[in-house]
Amino acid sequence: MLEFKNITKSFHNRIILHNISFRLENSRILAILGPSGIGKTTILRIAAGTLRPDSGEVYSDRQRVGFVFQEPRLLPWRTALANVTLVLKNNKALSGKQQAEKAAAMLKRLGLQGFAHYYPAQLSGGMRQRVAIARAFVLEPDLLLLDEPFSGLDLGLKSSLQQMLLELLAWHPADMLYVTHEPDDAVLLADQAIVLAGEPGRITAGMELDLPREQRDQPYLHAQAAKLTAILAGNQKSQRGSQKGSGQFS
Amino acid sequence: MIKSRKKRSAYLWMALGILTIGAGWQWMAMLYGPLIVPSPSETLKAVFSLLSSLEGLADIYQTFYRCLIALLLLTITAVTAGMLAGFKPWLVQFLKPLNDILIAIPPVALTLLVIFLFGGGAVQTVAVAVALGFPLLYGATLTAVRSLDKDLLEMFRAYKISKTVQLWDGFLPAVIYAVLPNILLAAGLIVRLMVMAEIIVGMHKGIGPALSIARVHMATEELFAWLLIMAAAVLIIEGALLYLTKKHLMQWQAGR
Ligand SMILES: Nc1ncnc2c1ncn2[C@@H]1O[C@H](COP(=O)(O)OP(=O)(O)OP(=O)(O)O)[C@@H](O)[C@H]1O
Ligand SMILES: [Mg+2]
Repeated sequence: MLEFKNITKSFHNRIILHNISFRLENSRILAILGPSGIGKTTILRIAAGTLRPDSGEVYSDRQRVGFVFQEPRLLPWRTALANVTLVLKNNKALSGKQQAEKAAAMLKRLGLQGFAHYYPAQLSGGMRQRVAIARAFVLEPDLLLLDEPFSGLDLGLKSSLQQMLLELLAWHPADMLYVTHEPDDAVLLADQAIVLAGEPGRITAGMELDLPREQRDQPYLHAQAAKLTAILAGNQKSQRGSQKGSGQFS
Repeated sequence: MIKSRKKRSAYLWMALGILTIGAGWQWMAMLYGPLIVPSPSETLKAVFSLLSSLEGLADIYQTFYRCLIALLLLTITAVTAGMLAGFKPWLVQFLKPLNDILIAIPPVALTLLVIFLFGGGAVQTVAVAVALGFPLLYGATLTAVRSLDKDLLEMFRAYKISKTVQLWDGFLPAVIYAVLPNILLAAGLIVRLMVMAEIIVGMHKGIGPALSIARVHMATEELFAWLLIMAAAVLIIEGALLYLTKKHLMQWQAGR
């Protein structure tokens, strides 16, 4: 369970996020959509605890947090394997060898067998992103924060990574905040979605996707994506008119 | 293939540079006579006789032993100080006056001061080299710590990476790799400072003393031979350090 209650955050006296509230039940996926610069990454940083909100509260019973950042953020002087092993080093229950084996198995799941001993600079952008995903999953996190993990990848790679993500989630369920600006991606993975808009950024709309992920077929996905796209477009229009946001979603 | 051709032409230009110096030298030798400027061939002969005499080798060993100790001490103190100062801003201010003095003071003046206060000896020559090399490495380390990738630091915090792991896998590699070129510079600097300090302190063994003895005896070919040996030694040390580190560096910096 993860809950944001009336979170407000400003940088240099400029309010970025205003009164953000949402509640994420166990093993559910919340998609966060909104224009660039609205504060999506800021929400993830607050959820991860690397950024403190000015006011409001975050409730979380989650211990292990996996964070896939907007960029891979790998240690350039460590191999892919060492980058994934890094996050297991706190786990004293595992020997060094067991940690490395675990990390290697996760790399393999992401199709990176044979590249374990490559340095990030020797990998392609998509491979680096997969290493970052492996690093987030190897922890067996109970909270996953994904910040546009597939942006900048081609369609084929993106859908195969999304497939992999679904497999991994089936294998190890986690609460997940998933930042994206693609309605299509959101409806594929999420159980609920929120849309941010305005200045300062606030939650202007929310949407539930009650059909289980496995049962979502193409027509359903299309319909839901169209609905979400309409919300996003409506937001842009109302933004040009008044600045009033409707408040909360939970 | 293109790379090897580039390399070959680089070597060619270097060889041409050496030949030009040799030709100029030969010309000077003919102009001034062997008593003032010995010819390259005479100097090379002197180099070989120095390198094959026990005494010559002992001098070289002494100086480079001191240099090695100085480089080790310098690296440890300056990198440690730089890292600590990078995390504790008050330490930067605290060390600034000392650092500024070390930058401003002429090497000879510091050496004389050290003799005046502590007398002469091998320890003093090492201390002089370490002190004078300090600002270079300390400054480089401080810059490296300050330019640490903030995104990586946030990644550490998000994953709750322990402080020890952060140090070994994050800070130390980042700093060492950023400081490495400066350690190479410091190695060359220390050799030069050491020879100077040896002469002023009045050591009995080492390249510095050998140089002053050669000067007293008007043995110009020996004087020139020492200069040649030192230049070659600095090149060899830097080359070796570079080779040892480059292989690893090139791998993770590939394509940058
Ligand atoms: N550390 C910071 N200092 C000052 N301003 C910041 C900082 N971090 C973010 N901001 C500001 O906060 C706003 C929201 O940033 P954030 O990164 O959360 O946007 P985003 O929704 O993730 O955008 P994008 O889709 O482009 O990634 C931006 O206007 C940005 O300029
Ligand atoms: Mg962002």
